[in-house]
Amino acid sequence: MEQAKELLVNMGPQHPSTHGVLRLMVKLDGETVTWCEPDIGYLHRCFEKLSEFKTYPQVIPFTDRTDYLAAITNELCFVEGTEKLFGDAIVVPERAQYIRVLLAEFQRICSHLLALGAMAMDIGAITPFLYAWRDREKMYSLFERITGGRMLYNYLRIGGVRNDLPAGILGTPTDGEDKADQTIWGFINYFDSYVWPQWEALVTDNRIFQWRTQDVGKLSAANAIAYGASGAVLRGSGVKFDLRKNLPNAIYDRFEFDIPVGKAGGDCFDRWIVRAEEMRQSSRIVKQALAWLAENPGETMGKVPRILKPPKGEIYHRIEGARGEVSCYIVSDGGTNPYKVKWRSPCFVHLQLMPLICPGQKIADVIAILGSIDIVLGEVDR
Amino acid sequence: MDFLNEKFPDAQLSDQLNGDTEILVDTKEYEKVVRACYEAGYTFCSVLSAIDWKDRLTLVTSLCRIVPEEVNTRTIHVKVDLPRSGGRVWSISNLYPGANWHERETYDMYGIRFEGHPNHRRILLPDNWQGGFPLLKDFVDHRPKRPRLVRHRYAE
Amino acid sequence: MVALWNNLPHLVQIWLLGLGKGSLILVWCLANFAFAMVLERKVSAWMQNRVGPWRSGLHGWLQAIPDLLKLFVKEYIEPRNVDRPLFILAPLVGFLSAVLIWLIVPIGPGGTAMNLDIGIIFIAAITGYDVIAIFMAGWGSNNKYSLLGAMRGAAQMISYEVTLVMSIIGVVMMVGSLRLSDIVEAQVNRGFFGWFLLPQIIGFGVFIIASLAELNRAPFDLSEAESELVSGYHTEYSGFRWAVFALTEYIHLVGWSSIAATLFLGGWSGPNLPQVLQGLGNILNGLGAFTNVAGDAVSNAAVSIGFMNTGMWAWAVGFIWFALKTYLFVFLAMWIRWTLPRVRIDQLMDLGWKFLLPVSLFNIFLTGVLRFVAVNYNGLPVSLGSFTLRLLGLWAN
Repeated sequence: MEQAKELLVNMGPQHPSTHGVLRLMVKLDGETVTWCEPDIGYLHRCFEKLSEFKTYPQVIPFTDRTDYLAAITNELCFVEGTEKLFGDAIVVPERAQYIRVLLAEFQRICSHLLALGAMAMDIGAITPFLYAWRDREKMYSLFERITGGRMLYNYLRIGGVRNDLPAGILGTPTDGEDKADQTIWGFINYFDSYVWPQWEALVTDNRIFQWRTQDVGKLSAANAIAYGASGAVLRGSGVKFDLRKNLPNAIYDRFEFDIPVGKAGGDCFDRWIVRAEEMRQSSRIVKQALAWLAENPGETMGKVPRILKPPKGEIYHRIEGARGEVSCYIVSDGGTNPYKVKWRSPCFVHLQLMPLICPGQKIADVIAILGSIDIVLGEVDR
Repeated sequence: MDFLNEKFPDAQLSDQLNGDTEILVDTKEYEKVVRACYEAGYTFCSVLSAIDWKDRLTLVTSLCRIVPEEVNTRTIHVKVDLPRSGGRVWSISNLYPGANWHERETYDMYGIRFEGHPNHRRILLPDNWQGGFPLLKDFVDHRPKRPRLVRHRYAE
Repeated sequence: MVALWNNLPHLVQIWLLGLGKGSLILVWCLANFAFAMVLERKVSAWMQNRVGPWRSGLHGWLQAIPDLLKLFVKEYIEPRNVDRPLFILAPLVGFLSAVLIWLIVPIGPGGTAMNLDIGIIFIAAITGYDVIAIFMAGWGSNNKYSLLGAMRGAAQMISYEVTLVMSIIGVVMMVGSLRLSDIVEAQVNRGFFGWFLLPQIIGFGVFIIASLAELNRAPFDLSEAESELVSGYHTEYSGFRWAVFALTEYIHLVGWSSIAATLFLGGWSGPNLPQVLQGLGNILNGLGAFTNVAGDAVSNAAVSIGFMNTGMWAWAVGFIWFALKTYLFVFLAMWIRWTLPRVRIDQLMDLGWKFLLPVSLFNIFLTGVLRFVAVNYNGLPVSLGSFTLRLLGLWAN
């Protein structure tokens, strides 16, 4: 009788910590993983095919739904790409640019909060996850007042943004914790003085959390580049590369911020630290944008033709999304619909790392690694 | 991109609207061009996809550089024209392991085959999908007819 | 009544007593479950800025009743190819092991169902059944997650049982008896605040960690590990069979807390109302330096309710102290659970075998040395902790 040496475990598609509908096939030798392969496609919604049948503004809501936790950065990618297709015909007002950056960075904090919370929950700490939700609710209230939507906004427009910021949403730099869900300044101050130290004390400095994440899921810098990693995963491996600095879209070159990188060789803890530090840098950018916006009222929508027909051409637009490099390849044939939209989603690429990192780790580490590369299945499958 | 001009004088080079370089090469030259880009430091495969021009498919491979100091880093798009059905091209996933899934997706959506790919299967659609290649412009959705399901490879 | 009882045949007496005690223990366990489960949800809600159960009963404190009713009428879902006898028996075996602990816990002065002289050994033996239950559930479920959870649970509980018993040995050495009521008596005899908490502080720390692991509670809930193994060994259970596992978990939690309270916090011992008043009066009187009206009034009040020092009253006060101390540990376990992440299986084993076991062995050694010194050279402190107390003048024995 042949004896089985390995145990094949299907984690997902119905598993509590696959962040959506992902199936991980894992072969186990005892508790040690010997082989791992993700199986995706359970959430495929034909985004690329659909967008060939929609006009350019109609595609924007679809981009929201690819990475539903960082909708603004996705919209930003598509909207800016389309604007570039028009060449100089569309000029985005400066105020709209600032609002875009403000919201994108605000969204980044929001997205990273959930990423950290979900990773903490994967490792077994449930309370930080709920703290993340508590703070995200406050952010969503702010988003709701600005854009009308809590999660999926459809707020950016080709040529600007849909509406100016509502009166009083910016607040003043002295706004404290009590105004966290009423003004952006209030939230940023609340974030700096309360949320960040709480995460630091509750999770980052926790000895068990460090046991579970340090030296787990190591990804070397060379492998990170070869496998196309970007965002916090690439920077966690020690590569100081951020498209906001290296290929500034919008007006990111006007802002002052640092790029955190991991120092311990790209383990899960490095990725955690990079994300946590990035939230602070985003809060710096938000503060600078707030200072500018408070003093410079103006138009938020440029002059745009009634029917958007970009000239023939192709564009590849890369921006730094919350999870890594979000980019879109738009082909225009001169009509009202895009001829082709190719969406490059970072999570799709990052998920390829699982077969590389996981073998040799324990099964509990697989979950920690999955949490640390922070995937959103809506974006993986599009 | 001077190194491409020097090495491949026949290839058509052009600029995209945002300053990226496009190079249209022959299928046979594809491997050489990609290798040249790799050796010139373009070690990051950003995306790989195809465009259906109704008379041909164009495979677009976007290669980037990861240089921390470089500002306004630009992308090279290596393009190959392929026939609409039965197109075969060299797989770059041995050079760029990250292109593995992009190639699988391109196969899934356009039917382009990649020679030397380590795991040449469908990725987003089910392994046993029989309905054709969805992103081709003449794709017809035959639903509600369900595709024939066969026993899954990994069912044990 | 008494005459009627005495006239009964001996065998009937035994059976009636057994049935009575058994029913009492079951009711007590279920009541504790109902309370501890809602408490857990309340505590977690409080820590996570949520409301928690709020609908059934006053502020949701009766939530356990609708929960159990719902689970009672739910369908049993049984996967194909389960090992049916094991699958069905597993929850019951686990439940048994959790309930049996209560046989020997003294919940008041003289309030034990069975005052076994091998108390500690009995606990260690009973806990072994829990491993069997987990393994039966995991093996019988025909599910890979369950099997993994069961393997983890078995490995973990067997290794931590060693540590757990070793950490109690120190207390046993100080008392010289395995009987739980003797242990409480010893702490009472040591005088005011004579608990084994301070003299056995090392053993106490090891005991708390090891009992959390033994209970499969976070941060050692590896055998259920929600984010890795879905629900571990009880993944395939549904309806009331699952409810029995939940019952077991909470009864176990309260049971182990009561043992911790008995061993280290003096069990049911504690000042009752007259004693508190007497002490208060003494303080008001400046410890006898001066007398005043208020101090005398308080002291007189203490004398007038002196009947509370004896009989039913003393029993009730002892029971209240016992419950308070038990739930202190229950709360501690909940606090830990909702704060810390989960450790990994190899880290858990390292912690158990390479750290906690040596530390508990060292504790035995230390206790032995100090005990030897105290017995042979009368007057020297029994251990470091009581030495501190002696310096503070709190322990005059």
